[in-house]
Amino acid sequence: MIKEFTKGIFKENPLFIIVLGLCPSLAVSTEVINALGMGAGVIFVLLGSNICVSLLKNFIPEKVRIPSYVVIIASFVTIVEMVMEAYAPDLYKNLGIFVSLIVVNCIILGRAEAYASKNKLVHSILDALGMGIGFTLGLLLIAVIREIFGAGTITLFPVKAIGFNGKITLGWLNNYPAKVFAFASGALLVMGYLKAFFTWLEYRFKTLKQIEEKPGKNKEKIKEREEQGI
Amino acid sequence: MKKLLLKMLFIGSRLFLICIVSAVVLGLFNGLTARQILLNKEKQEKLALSELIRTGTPGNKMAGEDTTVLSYREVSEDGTVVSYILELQGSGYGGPLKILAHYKPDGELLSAKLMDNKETPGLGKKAENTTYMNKFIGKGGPGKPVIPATLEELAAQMPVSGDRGTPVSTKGYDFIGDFPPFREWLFGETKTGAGDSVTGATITFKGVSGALAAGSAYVQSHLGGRE
Repeated sequence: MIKEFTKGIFKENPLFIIVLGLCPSLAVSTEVINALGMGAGVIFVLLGSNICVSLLKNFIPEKVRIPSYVVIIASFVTIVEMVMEAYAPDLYKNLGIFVSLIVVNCIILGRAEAYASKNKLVHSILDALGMGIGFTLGLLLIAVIREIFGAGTITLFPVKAIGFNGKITLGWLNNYPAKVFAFASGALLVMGYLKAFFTWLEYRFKTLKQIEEKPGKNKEKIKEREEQGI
Repeated sequence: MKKLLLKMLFIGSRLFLICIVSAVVLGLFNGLTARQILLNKEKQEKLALSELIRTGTPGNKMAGEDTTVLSYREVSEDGTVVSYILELQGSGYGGPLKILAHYKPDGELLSAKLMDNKETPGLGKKAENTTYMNKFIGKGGPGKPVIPATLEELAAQMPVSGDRGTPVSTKGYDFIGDFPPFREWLFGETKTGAGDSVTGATITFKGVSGALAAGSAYVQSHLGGRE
């Protein structure tokens, strides 16, 4: 059962392996605080929609499943948005746009269709948590790279009690930032390189596993890996 | 045929039921949160008014007769109207932009604050910073530079480095944003490339500047300027 949770973090990471929800992710990864906000919103809505879809899977007719999921997800996002605007207005001011953007995030609909509609409640909850955390970590990685190189800062939530204004300035990088990272083209560049890195990692782990399982049948792969210096 | 119709009716009724339940739940949550949201907005507006007005007391809100000017308030001091607060609506990247702007009776902009908006965080959203409005303040009155409604108008007002005050030509540049002195002044960029790129979100800029320019014109034609 623990695999249902951990798969979303690396093996089936929604951003770098499944490549879902890229549009809103690339749009909001300009600052670290945005990544944290978007991540928290996605975890919350993913959890809610997975629970609802899993509970209603026998009630929803096959032919109208997608419209039904859309209604459930949109309702859930709207509820979160309304509650946040009313009772956490400061947080809403920071995260408001991210909460709205979650409606169009493919991860939510993707998990409802591919997993929650076919599995039991507990498994769906674990899947939602794992995928949500995996998405948040991926988004955080993109945002950290983009903000550090594109602005020379790391923006977090301010903590008034200790006099922290929420922004860490990185001296030299702040004076000479590579602004391309802050723009849309920079987002695609970072995503491209990270995707290549994760694909390489995935390949490396897969072949290592194959060699460990059946060393005799993988002589060619071992030779190939030795030549590549992996 | 009848069987197919019944099947369609069955499927449709299930979807309809889901929609009804969602609508009822949303209605309930709306009922629970609407009052609090309204109270939050009033609180935010009061706070913004106290930031914008240094002297005088704002009066009651009156409806504006314009698509951009949603409402206005007279600011009085010793029984005399000394300025106006306008609630403006511009068109931003993420939808309507609400702006509270403070004008002298002759239309000169004294201060402004971006309120409700859905601009992109990290780009247009930075227009909420108090320094963003500095480029518009002190403009709009008679004998004062006009509030630039477009990037071209903003460029025309821009002084050149080392020769400030001389009008400049942007001929030879296909895109105004490529014009180096313009970038220096508008984006706050130095030769090292440092500076804030707040105005880089051009749609937000046009939305804000257009609304502020319309507000100034409204004050001149409908309010203080007509006296």
